[in-house]
Parts: sequence; structure tokens; C-alpha cells
Amino acid sequence: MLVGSPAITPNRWTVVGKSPLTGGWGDANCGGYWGPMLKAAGYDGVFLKGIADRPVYLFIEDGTAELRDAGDLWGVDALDTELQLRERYPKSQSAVIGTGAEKLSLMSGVVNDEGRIAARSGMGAVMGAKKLKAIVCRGTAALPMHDAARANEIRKRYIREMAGNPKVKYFTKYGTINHTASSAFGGDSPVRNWAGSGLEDFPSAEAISDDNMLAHEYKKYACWKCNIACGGHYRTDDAQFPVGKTHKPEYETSALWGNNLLNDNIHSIMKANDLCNRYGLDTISVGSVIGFAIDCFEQSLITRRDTDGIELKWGDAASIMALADKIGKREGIGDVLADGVMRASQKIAGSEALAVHIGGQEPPAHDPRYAPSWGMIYAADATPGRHTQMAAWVQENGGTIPGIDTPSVEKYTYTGKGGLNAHINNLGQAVFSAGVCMFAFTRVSFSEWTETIEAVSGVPTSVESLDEIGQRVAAIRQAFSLREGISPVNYHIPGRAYGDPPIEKGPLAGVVVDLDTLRREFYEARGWDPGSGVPNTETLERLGLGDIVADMEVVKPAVAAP
Amino acid sequence: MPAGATYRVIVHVYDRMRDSLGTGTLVAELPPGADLGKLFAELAARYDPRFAALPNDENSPFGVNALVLNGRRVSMPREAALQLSDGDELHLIPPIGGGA
Ligand code: SF4
Repeated sequence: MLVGSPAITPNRWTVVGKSPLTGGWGDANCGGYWGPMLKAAGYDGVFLKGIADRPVYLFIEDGTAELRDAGDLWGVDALDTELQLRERYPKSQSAVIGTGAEKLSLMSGVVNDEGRIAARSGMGAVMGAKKLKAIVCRGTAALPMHDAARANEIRKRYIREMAGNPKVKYFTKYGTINHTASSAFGGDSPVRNWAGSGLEDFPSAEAISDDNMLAHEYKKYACWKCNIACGGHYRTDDAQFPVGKTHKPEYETSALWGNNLLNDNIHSIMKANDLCNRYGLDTISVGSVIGFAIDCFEQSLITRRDTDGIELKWGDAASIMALADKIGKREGIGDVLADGVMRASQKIAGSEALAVHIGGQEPPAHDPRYAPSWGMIYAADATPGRHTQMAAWVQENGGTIPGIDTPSVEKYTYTGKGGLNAHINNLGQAVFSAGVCMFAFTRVSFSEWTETIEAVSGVPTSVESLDEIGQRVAAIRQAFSLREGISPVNYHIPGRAYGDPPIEKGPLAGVVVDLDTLRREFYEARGWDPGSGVPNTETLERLGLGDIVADMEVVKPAVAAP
Repeated sequence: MPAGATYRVIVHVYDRMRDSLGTGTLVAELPPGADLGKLFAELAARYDPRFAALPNDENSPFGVNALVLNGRRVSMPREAALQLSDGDELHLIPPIGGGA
């Protein structure tokens, strides 16, 4: 609803489908310029059914939509596809897939703005399976609003408020790259495929963090109408890993290709970012599966015979990049790894304990043992392994949601957090569904959202009404996964990331996450069955979702509490 | 170590605290037998009074989410009486609450 409006960060778009990676609800969210252009072309969303008989792209302009032949674009990487389409259709914006998605990699996403990618859940493979190379949008329609003048006035007020906030200024300068090293040293970031500790195993993390990364920025970048502007364009003329232009490698990318692989070659991290963007692959998942492969190699579960002769070693940028390229091409060992950690592990005997995934999705670079509510939401939500699903991890990490009063939270206390986890998650579900950015959600007063939604829609809006909308969104997502036979309480949980057994070294030594208590209390606070996570009939009826009660009655016997 | 010599403790800081202090590495000279509480009193006296309270709050440039002493997590003020040794290294890990 807020995309294309004067809201703060009104540019986020979401790809939704059944996830081929997890089997349940799939979605992936992204900033950039494509979402607002879809609105300007006259549409709020696009539903796609069926499979084309040859490669096509969807061209949308001023309220009309048409499938056009994409034969000449099939096989072209995501960035070049976008550039070619912009040349063909000046002033257009395109959401495209790369060659990784054409080859149906379950780690593939949908790319816009030359390398901003809706990466999670394997949504690129859904487009690839439909032979849909791109959705091109062009238009000039203004968003119809209930009270545009008021919405504009609200925007100005909140921009002023944010401009005076030193925390926002700092984030504008660095974005997410300011904590790659401190997260490695404190225990937030995975190190050595989730089995290591930063200070002992990767003391050189500062080489890829903060100002060392920022030094490669040659231009600031902001998504459409974003006053935070946390992005940047990066380049390096390194002889081994030159990159002419890439988006800032975010913390997630730096942590999973740096800390987690013990790789302090900063140029290779920029190169990995560019390579994944071109193939249209998720840097979190690809970095994770490479960590898994190195671990397998080190433990002799695979040898050079399996890796097409590549000697896999922690911290060896050359072999890491060679493997990444093979994954993008689905070549040899790359084909074994191209569908993510879970499927690779099923093909490599004895590798289960090294396979860090939750319900098939590789977790992001935030360790459940560092902030247990992150671990809870990774394992309780319909989209497993998501750091962007809101929960009390915000408070556990020392953060706030401005304008929302919350009690103080003890990281390693496992009881009494259900209500807070549910409330914060509901607010995130509602506000993110409206199309704004998580980084704004935690940096501007919450009243920005209630006021702007009211001005844009004309519907009275409050924290309570958004909480209720969030409850509805969460229930629908959960019900979808359950109906498809995927129950979050039965997700595979990687012991390594949850303290089973507890690690003996580093700042996370001895931490065992009590997932069961956190998840039960969260479900209970939602009005869902605490043991199975099936939404209760009364809850669904209270939320006006009586039409999915029958589906839930069918799944109940199959999803008995484990 | 000769009798009466001081302990040197290295403190690593990050993020806005580093910006605010203009350096990422601080050195505290402490009397033998000093504890963690004494270290923070010394940092407050020598570098910045805000070391006296380190809230788990990203709104403060002196916010701290985790303390890591010689690679192990410690907590303040609960472990204020923890004895330090010469050459100890402490990392003050900032909050990441904004979701990054
Ligand atoms: S805060 Fe950063 S990621 Fe979010 S909309 Fe703005 S530029 Fe994009």
C-alpha cells in the first residue's frame, strides 16, 4: 500500500510463492526502483500461473500487460539482462532472473537495479521454471491517495526527525558493514561453518569490515525515495578479483563469505557479490553451502575427485571463487551444491552434522546462540531462517522500535517472551507488507507508519490495528505452509547453531538455546496451538479467517506435537 | 613481572564508540589484582566518563551488547569483581538492534 507513496522508504517489493527450497510459504523482499515503477505502470501486484512454452518476459506499461519473447535474453546474466531491457525500453525498470535461476538453482532469487536481489526462498527458481526471464515495467501514473498533501507533510516531518539522529547518520555512512568484525568477535556471526569462534579462528576479520570495506565505495546509493540511503556502489581493481561496479557487499554477504569461510580477502568478497548478482543467487545460501563443502572436504567426506580437482581450504579465496563459479554454472561439484545445504547434504554421506539449515533454508549470519529470539523466529515462522522476521531479537541485541514501548529483555531468559515476540512480529508483518524497509522500521517513530497509512488509505490506523493485521498475515502464511505439509515444529534444527552440543570455546561457550520454550510461548501468545503451531479455530474466526478453518482441521492430526 | 608493576589491559572498541574516541584500541594501566569494575572506572577517568555506564542500547554511542574477555563472554555489573591479569584483552561488542 505504501509503495510509491511519500512514506519513508516506500520502495520495497516482495516475491511470493510456494518455496521450492522449503516446500512451504516462500517470499523474498527487496528494495530498489522496480516496486514503485510497477505501481506507476498501474498495478499493485502481478499473479502468474502456469508455464510458458518458451522463454518470455512480461511487459507492463500504463495499465496493459503482455508476454513477449525472451529467446535472446535466455542465457544472459541478470545484470546484462536488465541493461539490455533498459536500452530497449528507456525509463523502464525490470525485475529479472539470472542464469542460476534458469538452471533452477533453489538458491536463486529475483534481481533489480543491477544487483539488488530478492534472494531468499528460491523464488528465482519459480520464475525460471515458468520460463519467465523478467517483468519489465514502465509508466507515469501517480499513486492515488486519500490525502496526498497530508502524506507529504508527514514525510517532511519524519525526514527532519531522522536527520537529527546520529544513529541514522552513522547507518547512512556504513549501512550494514560496520559490524562484520565485531559480530565475528562477539559471537553474532557464524565462523567456520558455525563451529568456530571469531577471535580464535578468524582474528583478521577487521580486514573485511568497517572502513576497510567502505574504502571501496565510489558512490552512495539509495533505493527509491529513501532518505536513509544506506547503500553504495563499490569497485576494486585488484588483479586477481577485479570488480568494475557492484552494490555494497552487505554484512550478510561479508559475514558468510568472510567470517564463515575464514576468508579475509576483501576483493574476493566484492567479486562474490558481483558473481552471485549476475547468476542471480542468494549470497547467504551460496556462502553457506561453500562453508559446508569446505567442512566436508576437511573431514574427508569429499575429496578432490568429487570437487573436480579443487582443493578446498578455509580462507582460500581462489578455491572459494572457483567453487562459486561452478555452483552458478551447475557444473560438476557445483551441481551437487546448487540447490543448497540440505540437498547437498543428502548427497554426501555422513555430512548431516555439518549441514546448517533450518527446514531447508540456510540461516543468515546471526547466531541463535547470540540472540535466542532470532533462533526462535528462524524455527517458528512459515519462512524458516529469516533475520528479517521481527521478534525480541531487536531488544536482545540492544535495539528498539522507536515509539513502541517494550519491557527490558534478558538475552538468555527463555520464559516470558512470547507476548513480546508475537507483538513485534505482528507489527513487522503488517508494516513490511505495506512495502517499507526494515532499516526504517527500527529507525523512525512507529507513528510514521500509522499516520502515513491513514493519510494514504483514509482508514483509521493504530498500533493495535496494525498488530491485528500482522496477526492475520502471520496466520495465513502459517496456514499455507501447514496445508502444503510443512510444519515449522518439524523443521530440521542444526545442532551446531543452537548449542546441541554446546560449543566449548569463544563467547558462545556453553550456550544452549531453549527453543522449545521460546517457540511454545510465541505460538501460545499468537493464539496458536503451542505444541503444533496450528492456529486455533477461535483465533482464525476472530481474525476473519474462518475460511481456512477447514484446512487446519485436516492438517491437525498430521501435525501432532513432536 | 616485578613487584609493584602495573597490569596492562587492552580494550577493543567498535562502531560509534570508536568514532567517538577516535581509536579502536585503548590501554588501561591497572594495579595488580584489579577487577573488571576497576577497569571501567579507569576507562571512565582516562578516556570518557560514559564508560561508567554501558547501556545495552544502540541509541547510545557507548551502548554495549556483549563483553568478551580473552575470548569468553563476561557480564557487567554481575562480574564486576572478576580479577584481571596483565595482558588481558577485552572487546566491547556494540548493539546491532537495528537489524543488519
Ligand atoms: S534503508 Fe537502505 S535498504 Fe532500506 S530502502 Fe533505504 S537504501 Fe534501501
